[in-house]
Amino acid sequence: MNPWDLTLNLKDVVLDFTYLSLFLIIGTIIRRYGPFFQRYLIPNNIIGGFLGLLLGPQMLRLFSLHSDRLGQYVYHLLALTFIVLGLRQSKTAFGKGPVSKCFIELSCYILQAMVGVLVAFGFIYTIQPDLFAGIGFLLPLGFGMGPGIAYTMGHSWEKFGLEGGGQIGLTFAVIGFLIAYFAGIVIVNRGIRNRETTLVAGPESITNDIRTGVIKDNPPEIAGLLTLAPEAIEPMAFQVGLIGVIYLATYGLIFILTSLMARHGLGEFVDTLWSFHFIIALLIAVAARKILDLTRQSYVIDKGLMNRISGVCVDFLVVGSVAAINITIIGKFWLPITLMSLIAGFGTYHIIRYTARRAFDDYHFERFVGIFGEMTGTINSGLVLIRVTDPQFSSPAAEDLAYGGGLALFLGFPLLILLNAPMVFFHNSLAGYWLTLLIVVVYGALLWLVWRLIGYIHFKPPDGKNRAATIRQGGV
Amino acid sequence: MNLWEFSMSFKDIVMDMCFLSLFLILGTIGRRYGLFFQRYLIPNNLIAGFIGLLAGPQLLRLVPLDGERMGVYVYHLLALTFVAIGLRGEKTSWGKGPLSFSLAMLSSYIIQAVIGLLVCFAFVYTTRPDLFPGLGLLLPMGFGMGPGQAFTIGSSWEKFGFAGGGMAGLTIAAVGYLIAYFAGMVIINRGIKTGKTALIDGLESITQDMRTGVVKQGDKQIAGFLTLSLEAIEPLAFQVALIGVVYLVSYWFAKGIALLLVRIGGGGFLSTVWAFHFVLALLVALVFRKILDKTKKSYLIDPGLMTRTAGLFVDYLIVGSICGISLAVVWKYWAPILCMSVLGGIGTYYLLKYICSRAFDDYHFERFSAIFAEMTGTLNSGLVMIRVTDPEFKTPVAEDLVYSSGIALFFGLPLLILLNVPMNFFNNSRPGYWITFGLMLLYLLILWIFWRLIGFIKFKKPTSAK
Repeated sequence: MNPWDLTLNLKDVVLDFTYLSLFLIIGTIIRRYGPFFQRYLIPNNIIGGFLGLLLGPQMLRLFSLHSDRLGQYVYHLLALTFIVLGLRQSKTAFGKGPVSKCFIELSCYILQAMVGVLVAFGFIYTIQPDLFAGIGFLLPLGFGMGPGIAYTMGHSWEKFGLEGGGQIGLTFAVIGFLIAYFAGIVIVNRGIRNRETTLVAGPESITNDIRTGVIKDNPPEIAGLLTLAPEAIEPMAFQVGLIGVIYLATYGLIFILTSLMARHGLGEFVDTLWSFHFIIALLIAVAARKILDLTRQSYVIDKGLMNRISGVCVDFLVVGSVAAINITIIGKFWLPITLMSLIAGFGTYHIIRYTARRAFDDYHFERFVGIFGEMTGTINSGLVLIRVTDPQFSSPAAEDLAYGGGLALFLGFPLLILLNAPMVFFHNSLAGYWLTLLIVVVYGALLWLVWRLIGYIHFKPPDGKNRAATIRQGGV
Repeated sequence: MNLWEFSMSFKDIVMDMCFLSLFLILGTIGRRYGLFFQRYLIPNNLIAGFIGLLAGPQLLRLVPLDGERMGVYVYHLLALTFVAIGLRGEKTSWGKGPLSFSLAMLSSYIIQAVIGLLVCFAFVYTTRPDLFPGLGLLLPMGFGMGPGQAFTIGSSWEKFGFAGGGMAGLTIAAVGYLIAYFAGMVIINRGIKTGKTALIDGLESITQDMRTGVVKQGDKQIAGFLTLSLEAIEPLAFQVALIGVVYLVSYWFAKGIALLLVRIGGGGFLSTVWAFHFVLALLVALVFRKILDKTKKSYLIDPGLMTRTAGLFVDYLIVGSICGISLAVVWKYWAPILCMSVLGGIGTYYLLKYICSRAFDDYHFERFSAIFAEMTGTLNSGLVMIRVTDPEFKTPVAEDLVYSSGIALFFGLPLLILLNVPMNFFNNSRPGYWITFGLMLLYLLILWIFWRLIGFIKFKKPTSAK
């Protein structure tokens, strides 16, 4: 079946988006006036999402949001953000900073996958033998990667017997978000108290504008540039149009591939390919960008406007994801989900703390909190946490975080396929999961070997605190 | 017909938007490399729309578009554009320039309605007694107002027996566009030759960037400002969400009115209420803007980002409205539409030529070419014409034109209601149309008396055209 097909009333789509808009605006107001949300720098989209969950059909029943439809929006918005990522062409650097950051991220994914599936095994071999073991693999998707990917993959696993897979993925993503902000801010505050930060900064150094979310004190920054003449076409419409064309090509390519697969007896992989559509969208976008670069036409793409569009997609994606969480499903799986999240949260904390000190030369703490934010929430959460310790972005931590993204995606691709292996290749058998777990561990070991061989990590603990202190005294 | 209820597959929505995007990009390439399009400064969305019409199911059958779906998108995009315009907070000025402009626009609407109705009556009383006379009243919507209004109001008349009313509206709007650019550029070229232009001596003043549609040589202008912090919310998402909220409130508003009408037995007006929802949306947006201004919160709205969003809606609206044209409907009404358009175009030309030399003190030709393009195309067509005659926007013409649109909307509301009178109050009877005809002439007369009394127009031919 083509997962794009969902018969609905256009009125519902229009109203859904106006509801999501309403939640986003109320979220903005709450952030603007709520000291609690300002303290933990909770982004407006998460506040908006929880509002949607509260006012939606599962609790107060004021708004008729349907999670099937919300799932569709999340699925499409995810691919659209990846297209922007490809068209915008964020520069990738291969220095020690970005490369090490990317290795740490992969280690996190692998650790989270291991924790997830081991906890699931713990349940299966004892009290809950009918638990779907793949639930554990949703942990790295929800924590490390993000709500869109977690939903899309989880949804495609429903076919293999994971009840409410998409919803569970969203739940992990939301728990990850909460860890990113609440634990993240606590970690940052403790780090500042223990003088672990390189730059003398603290929560007070965050400007009022960042805290409240509205720019009032400082002059607003430029949103982007008009790369086309408005007399001919609205430049924003051109950027959106370009994204639409890439998406059309994505659909066309997947449609051809799935038809070919169905004809050659590979029909069972069709659904998996549809759930990987965001990767295909990214690849086509990167190719299109390359072509535009080579033909010297890429000046029509404005990075600022593209950032705006991707920001809109992400904000609506997050509101939609949180609002789409199914409370019944959570009730059913609350114990494994809680256990997995707790252990994975601690594991992620310690692995990043361990590696950040050994794999970076400077700004260990700033890099640590940035990656921790990203590996539980999204890249945006990481950037927010760095902002607290380094309000001016004067350290390379923020830049490395953004640059490492492309590389991590590339190295994470085999992992993403691997996580699908037990369902797609081993008919969801426990042996398949054990085998996959083994391969994941081997992949992790290989990564660490490469990492050590290129000399970007040393296993002896450096004297990090002193170093931070020296830099501080040197007056950075 | 309630345009909100429309069952479809979500895949179709996504694919339709992708196809419209494809046409828009092809249109951009067409403008970038097509000398013909550059000569007439045809906007990319217009080229794109015709590409879509050609590739669509009615001609080459390459792309599975559907006229009905396009219609619903046009319907929503129209209201969203109005919401963005209302929130952006257009300044209005009541000086002679803007006021005379808006009265000239009103006069054009009325003349177009009169011509349209007369042409339709000519057909009704001779060869086509079954023709729906309301077709003529779509002329001011398609020419003067725009494709969104023409479609929305046209489809609300389908209930009264106007087969393919929405499509007829779109067709008239598309014809108006073609007149705006092709006739508009011819008029400017002739004006240059006869030395009527105040600022330019030739067309070389149009920069290469504007001609090709891509900014390559000049400096890129700023698209807008980030009025919220990125750590909390994407500022553009805030603007989009604000539009969404206003749209939600206007939906509730329209629904409330509809429920009230049903209760008091006015169920016959339902489709008119839903057709006027863009007006409701604009009103709600203006109220929101006022509240934000009063509470000093309007600094959150960035006019640049709002303009981007409105421009985005308009571009997709126009592509969709041309793709959505049904050739069957065009074929059905080709004779009256052709007569109406030719006579309407000529009528608008002479009316505005007459007015512009009498109601303005300066830049008569610049004002004339701009308002002519707006009264056949859209505001954007008018601004393009000004760009040609006044490349650096040195004259007040562009500003006056933008300001006047708000005033014209205000004066135009009674007219918009008037145009719905024959169907809603007279059961679509011929006397009803004649009464409306009389009322329109009366409205025109009142406007002109007002215009003369405030002294902004003199009926004596001025001695020297500047």
